[in-house]
Parts: sequence; C-alpha cells; structure tokens
Amino acid sequence: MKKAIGILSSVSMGMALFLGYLAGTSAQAAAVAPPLQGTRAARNQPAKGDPVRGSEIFYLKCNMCHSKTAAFGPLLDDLYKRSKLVSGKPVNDETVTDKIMNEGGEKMPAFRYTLSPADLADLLSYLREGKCCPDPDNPPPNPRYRAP
Amino acid sequence: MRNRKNCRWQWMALVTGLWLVVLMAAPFHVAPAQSGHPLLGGPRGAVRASTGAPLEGIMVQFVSEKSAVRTTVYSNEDGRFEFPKMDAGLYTLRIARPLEFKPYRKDSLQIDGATQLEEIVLERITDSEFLPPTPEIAEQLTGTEWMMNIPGTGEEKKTLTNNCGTGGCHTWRQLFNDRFDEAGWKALLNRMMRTGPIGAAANMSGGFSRGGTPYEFELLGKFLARVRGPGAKDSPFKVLPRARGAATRVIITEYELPHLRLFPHDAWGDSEGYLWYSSHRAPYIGKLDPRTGKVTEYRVPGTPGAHPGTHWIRWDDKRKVIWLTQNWAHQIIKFDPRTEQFAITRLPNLDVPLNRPMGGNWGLHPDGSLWATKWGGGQGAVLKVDPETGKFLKEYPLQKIHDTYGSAVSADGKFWCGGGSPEDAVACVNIETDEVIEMETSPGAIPARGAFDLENNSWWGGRGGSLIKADPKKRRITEYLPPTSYLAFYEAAADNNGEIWAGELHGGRFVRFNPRTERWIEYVMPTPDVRNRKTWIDHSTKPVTVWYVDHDGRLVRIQPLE
Repeated sequence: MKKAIGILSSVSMGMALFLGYLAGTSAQAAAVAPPLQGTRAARNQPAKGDPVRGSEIFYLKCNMCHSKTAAFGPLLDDLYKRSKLVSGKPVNDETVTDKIMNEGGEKMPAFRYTLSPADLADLLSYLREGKCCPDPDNPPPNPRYRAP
Repeated sequence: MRNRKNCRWQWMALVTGLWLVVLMAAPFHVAPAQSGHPLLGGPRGAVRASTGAPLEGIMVQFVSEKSAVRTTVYSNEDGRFEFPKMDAGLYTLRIARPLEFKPYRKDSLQIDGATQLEEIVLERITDSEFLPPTPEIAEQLTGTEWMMNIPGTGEEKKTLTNNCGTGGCHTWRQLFNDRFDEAGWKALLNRMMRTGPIGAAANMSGGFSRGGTPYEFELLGKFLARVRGPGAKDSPFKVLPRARGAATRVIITEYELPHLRLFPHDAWGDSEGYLWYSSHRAPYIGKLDPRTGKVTEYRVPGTPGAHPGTHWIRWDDKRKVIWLTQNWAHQIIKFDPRTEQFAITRLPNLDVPLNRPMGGNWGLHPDGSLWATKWGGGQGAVLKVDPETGKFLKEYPLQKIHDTYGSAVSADGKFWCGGGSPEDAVACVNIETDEVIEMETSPGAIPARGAFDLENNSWWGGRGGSLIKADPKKRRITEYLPPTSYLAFYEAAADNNGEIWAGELHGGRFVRFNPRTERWIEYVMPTPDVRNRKTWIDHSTKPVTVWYVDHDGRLVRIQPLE
C-alpha cells in the first residue's frame, strides 16, 4: 500500500510540475496577432473614399463587364466627366449610387445586398477621381513582392 | 531493514515519476532532436493546444521580412515541427489557416540556423466541433468546406460545380461572399454562362462554363437566390480534418510575383534551376530564381485587338528556348533566354475570332514538333505542327471528338493523347502506327489537361473531380476519386516513380496518388485555394520536387520529405 502511495505521490508530483509548466508557457505564448493583410477582416476595415481600395472593388465586381476588352457594359473611364448616364440622368454621386446599388439593369445586378456603405464610398472615389479603369497591359505592382 | 526497503521503493517511485515527467514534457520542454533529414535542419519547435495535447497537422509558417517568401512545415503527431535551413534574418512566425484556433503570430523573430523556437500554444475559439460563421473563419474555408456548409441538394451543388467551378477561375469564397436577389443572380449567370471569357466581342456558347442548359440556368438562379439571397446567413461551419501522418511530412514554399492581376497559368523549370511562368491576362512571362526569390519579368510583344496574356509554357531543353502560346492572340512564341528575344508565329485562325480561346495547349514531341487538336469548325483532327513556321506537318482525323483541351506527348514520342474537355472523352494517336484511338469516360468526368507516365499511360485531371487514366495500348479508361469531395481537377502530372500529382481546385489540397497501391496523400496547403493549372515535376531531387503556379498569383514549391 505504501509502495503504491509512494509511486502515486511521486507521479503526482511530476504531473503537478508538468501541468505547472504548461500553464506558464500557455500564458507566455498566448499572444494573438491580427490577421495578415488581404484577409476579409482587413478588407472590412472602415474606409472613407479610398480610391486604392475602390480600384480593388472595381476589379472584383465591375471589370468583368466594364472593360475595353469585355465590352459588355459601358466603359467608365471618364464617367464623372460626362454630363449624363445612359439613362439620361445627370452624373453625380446620388445617381451613380442609385444605379449601382438599387437599379442595376437588364445585364447588371443591383449591389445593395453585396456592397457595404464603405465599399460604395471607396468605389465612388475611384470612379470620381478619374483613375478608372484597369489596364491589362500595365497591371499594378505587387506590394508583397520584395526583390532581393 | 523494513525501513530500508520502504526507502528503496520510495526512491524507485520518485525516479519513475521523474522519468514520466521527462517523457511527457519532452515534446514541449526539451529541444526536439533534429530529424537529420537532408531537407531540414532549420528552426524547430513544438505546438500544442492550451489544454495540453500535442497538435498534429498545424501549418507553421515563416514569412521572410527580406524576400516575403513563405515557408510552411507541419507539426507531427507529437506536435513537433522542423523547418529547412533558412537564411539568417528576421521572419514573421504564424499559423496558416488556424481555423478552430485563435490566430497566432510573432513578428520580427531573429532566425539564425537551427533556432529552437518558443513553444506554440494554441487556444480553441470554441469547445464545439462547429465553428462560428464569422468573416475571419469564412475567409479560411476551402471551396469544399463552403460546399459542405451551404444548404442545397446534390444536384444543385454539382450543377454549380460543373458550370462555375471546373476552371478554378474564381473561388467559391468570391461567389458566396455576395448577396443578390434572383434577378441579380441571373444577370450575373447570364454574363458568365452565355458570353465569352473576354466579353461580348468573343461571344461563344457556354461562356466560361461548359455550356449550361436553360434548365441548369434556372436551377442555379433559384439555388443562389435561396442560399445567397438578401440577408442569407451561414450556420456554424464544419471543416475538414487537418493533415496527418504522411501528409505532414512536406515543406511548402510560396513565392510572390512582381505584379498583381497576372493570373498565372503554367509553370515549367529549365535546366539551370529557374522556374518560368506564363501570365494569362498580362503581357509578362517571368523567371523565378528559387534560391533567392528573385523574379525577372519579360514583356511579351502585344497584338493589336487582342487581350494580352500567354497560356502554355514549356522549356525546350534541346533548343534551350521557352515555347509559349497566346490563346487570345492565337500565336506560338519562342523566347530565347540568352538573347531575350521573342519570335512570334501566327497560327491560322480557322474562323476563330481574336480573344476567343484557341490553340492554348500543346505537347512537345522529342522531334521538336508541337501537337494539339485542330481548332475552329469542320472535322476535328490531331495536328502535328512545325513551331517555327506554324505549318501543319500532319493531320490525324478524329471521328467522335471534335477537339481536345489537353495535349500531351509521351516521353518516348510514341503516343499523343488529349483530354476532351468539355467532352467526356480522351483522344490518342499511336504515332508509330498512325492509329487514332478515342475513348469515352463516365458522364461528367471531363478529362482536361494531363501528361504521360513512363509506361505510356496518359493521366488527366477530371473537371468532374477524378483523376483519369487513359491507356492507349489497352484502350482502357480508369477513373480514381480522391477522398475529398466537391472539387475539380484541371490537370494531372506523373512523376518518374509512377505517382500522380494534381491540385484539387476548391479542395485546398494537392494530391499525390499511387496507382499501384491506390493510396492518396492529400497535402493540405497553407492557403484555402489551390488554383493549379499545370504541375511541373523536378526529377533532379530525391524525392521529387513539385511546382505549380497558382492562378491567384504565386509560385508554389512542394517538397515531400519521403
């Protein structure tokens, strides 16, 4: 009996040491870092009229139709320099927003359930600042690439 | 005497207890012994759950602050991991796709040689097997996991995969992040299913997809509006298991490329150790030096009216040149790395308008000729072409199939075969006898791109989700299904040991299949998506090294440890 108690107590002592060790390292290593750039969480950060982010949204949601080679929808390079939309309405933030978010069109979905207000603000700033549209002959540099 | 006996037992118990402590703590407390594997010998450590258990299959990743190269290794059943030897410098240490665990990341770690890393302790985000459907978790899901978790019938999910997922042009994440009503989804489906890849100018039946029927169009419109309509919410996620066993014995290295929006298509290695890649939508080809991570780009001359971009790429070791195709501009290009000059051969359009895909995939015969099937209308035929002039040297008429997507020549030059995508068939030519062989697969298998093994079996990535062996000698098709579902294969490659390698589109895994034992190893990749269109196998290493360029824009090296 004493033998068993002796073995048990020694093993318990060892276990206690071991668990103590785990607890210590757990606290030490529990630092949590934010997700890396490019994740959805990062993309969802509030942004007010960021044309760079707007260019990404345009590329993902609009470019498939509104590009020179696609020719599936009207080109939008100089949208804010035009006096009227295809519908005849004047070109301003309100009408462009309405077209993108609510009206859509025969060939275009309305994006009101897909784009957030921040997404829309970025997209509008991209269109308004005349930086549209992506040029396949000159793709943007990859900020993550670092030439050694 | 009795006391002495008691002392002895107590002493033995204490020693036993201490031994147990040492044994139990070993994986975490003591620097694990170096494996001695020639590919390893770098930083090492261990990973466990906060509850104490060692964790297997955790993807431990270093991101070099100098080169941005990402190196990922996997913890084994004891929770231990070991990196390859790495350049001294600063690195970010993180866990790739932690899923059920909270994110873990340490910046600016100084690494120099076989650094012993601090133990990594991961804390679960939930006690449940189901993960909360937060954007942070959703971002990490593979396409397969998306399909597992989206409600719907088998018909709806497979119809979506068949029509929108067999090319790996976009991820399921991109699709399922959106919300539209039925009219909105149908407008989007109309664009994707009924007009050409570049647009209305290249209108083609089927659009991007393999040609959805009106029934499929309606089914998909209603399905997407139901599961991704306004206000659609996700249920808690069930995810696939982590890598275990042999699937943890691998090193994955990812290299960034200098430009975004390249949509790289093919990769191939030259005899000097450089990796070449083509860009499907930009006027660049590139050359990676894997020793440094440096990429050298070359600008491909443009063609008026044609979208920039190249498709197939192949190093010609006899001529010491790179062959490329432009399936938007319908040209074959020879690039000489010594002079950095492009020589362009225009292919006859045969009634195919610019920007409509044509003549993309070729097989290089040992005699220097290029092989593919004829494009455009009229009777289908297999072509032998002089790449220097574009002249058709020989035609082999096809009876059942019009053309093929894939194109491969056996190493001994005795056979050509092509995967019939979008048709469920493989066409072959016995080049010695001029015999044409056409073999049918099961419905929906859709063999696409592939290659020959050394026994002259051709292997094809099935867009329907299987690997397909087409043996032109026995005229027999055999299809093999991987353990993971809801995926597609774009291509398959055979190594000289007879094993087959292919990226699972949507599965987030790269498979290694041994046809003799029918054993699958699925290497779980550090990114949720594997958008692989061409695998190149480097036989100069043992085991072989596998390369592919991801359509998302990175070159990926897979180094199995066994």
